[in-house]
Amino acid sequence: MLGKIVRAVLLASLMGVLQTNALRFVSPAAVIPDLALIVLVYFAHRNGSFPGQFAGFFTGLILDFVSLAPLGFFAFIYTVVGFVFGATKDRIVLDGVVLPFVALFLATLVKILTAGAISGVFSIDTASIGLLGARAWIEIGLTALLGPLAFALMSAMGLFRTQQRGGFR
Amino acid sequence: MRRFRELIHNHGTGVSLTTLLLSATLMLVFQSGPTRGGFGELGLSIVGVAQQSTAWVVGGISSTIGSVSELGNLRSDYEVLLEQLLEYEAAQQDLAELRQELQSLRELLGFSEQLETRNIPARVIGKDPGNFFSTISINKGRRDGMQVDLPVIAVQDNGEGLVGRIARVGATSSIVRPIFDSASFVAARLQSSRHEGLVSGGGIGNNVLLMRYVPEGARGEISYGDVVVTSGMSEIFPSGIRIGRVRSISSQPYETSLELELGAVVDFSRLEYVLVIVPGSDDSSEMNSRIGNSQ
Repeated sequence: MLGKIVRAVLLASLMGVLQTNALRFVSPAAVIPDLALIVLVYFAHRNGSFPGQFAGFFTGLILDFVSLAPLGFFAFIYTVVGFVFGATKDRIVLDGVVLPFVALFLATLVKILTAGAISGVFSIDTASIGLLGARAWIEIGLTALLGPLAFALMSAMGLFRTQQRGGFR
Repeated sequence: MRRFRELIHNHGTGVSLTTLLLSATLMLVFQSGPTRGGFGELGLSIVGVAQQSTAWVVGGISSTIGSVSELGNLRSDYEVLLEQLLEYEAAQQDLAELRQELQSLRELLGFSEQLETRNIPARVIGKDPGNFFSTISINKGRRDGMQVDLPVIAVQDNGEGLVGRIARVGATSSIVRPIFDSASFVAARLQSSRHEGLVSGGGIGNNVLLMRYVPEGARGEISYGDVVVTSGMSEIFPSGIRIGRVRSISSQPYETSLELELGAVVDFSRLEYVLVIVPGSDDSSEMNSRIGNSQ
C-alpha cells in the first residue's frame, strides 16, 4: 500500500511540476488543467479513501512548495479530494467517457470550493477563487475534458491496479 | 490504550483524515511562523530541482521546434541587423562623448545618490501549478545570492520594467511575487508630474495595476500614457524603475485621491529572463567616499 501511495504522489507531483512549465505553453487564457488532480482522483477511486487522502496530502504539500500558496493550502484541498473520490471505490465504475468527465468536473469543483473556503477562513489572497469567474470554469472544463483520456491511458498502462477478487469458476 | 487501538482499527480512515486535515490547518495557521521558512525552503530546494529538470527538457523541446521556424526568418533578420549595426556604430561615437559630458556634470553637481547595483540574470522556469496564485519560479536560489525581498526586473523592448520581488528562496531556485499579484504593493510616482501613490496588483489573468492615493489636485497634470516609476520610498525597490503606463483615471466624489489604472510595462506572458537586483552597498559607499573626498 505504501509503495502505491508513494508512486501516486510521485506521478501526481510530476504532473504538478509539468503544470508549472510545459502546460503554460499550450493553455488558453493562461488557465491550465489540473493533471495532478486527475491522477489523484484516478488513484483514490481505484484504491479507496484511506490511501487517497494520504496521496492527496503529500501531493498537495509538494505543490505548496512550488507555489506562492501558504504551506498547507493545496495539502488540505487535495486531502479532501482524495478522501471524497476514494469513497467511490467499489460503488461507481469510472469507465468510458461520461463518468470520468463527471468525476473530474465534480473534483475540480470540490477543489475550487474548498480553496474558496480556506481562503475565506485564513484571509488568503487568491487570484481566481469564485465560481462566477471565467478562469475557474475554464479550468473545470479543461480538466473534465482531459479526464476520460487520462483515465483510459492510466487504465491501459495498468497504473494503480488493485487486486481483483476471485469469482466463481 | 486498547480503546485507542480499537478506535484506530474501526475508524482508521476517519482518524487519518482528521489528522491530515489538522496538520494542513496547523501549517496554514503557522504559515508565517519561524518553522515555515526552514521547512518551505527545504521543500522548495528539493522540488525546485525537479522543476528545473522539467523546464530544461520542455525548453529543449520548444526551442528545437522554434528553431526550425526561425531559420526562415534569419536571413531577413541578418540584413536588418547589419543596417542597424552601422547606425549604432555611428551612434556609439556620439554616446561616448555624451557619457563624458554627463560624468563631468555629475561631478559638478555632487551627485552622490547614484545607485550602484549588481544584478543577477535568471531564467523563468515555471509558473503556478494551479490557477489560484501568480507564482513565477526562477532558476537562481540561495547559492546564487538570492534573498527574500530582492527586486526583480526584466528588459523588454529595449527598456527595463519592474517584475516583482523575491518571495521565497530555495537552494537552487526562488519564487517571485509579481507586481500584478493582489498581495503586491509598490511605492511609486508619476515620472513627469512626480506625484506619488501606491501601486497594487489586480490579480492573475487581470494584467492591470492600480495606483491609489494620488492627490485629487494632480488630475490636471496627469495624462494617458504617462509613465509610472518606483519612487524609492520603500526599502525594497530602488527608485526610477518603470512600472507601467496610465490607462485610465478615476475618482470617487467622497474620496480625496485619484485611482489610476496602469498597464504593466512588462509583458508577463512572454517573460523568459529576469534580472534580480542585488544592492552593491560596498560599491556605493566607496563611490560616496570618493565623491566626498574630491569635494
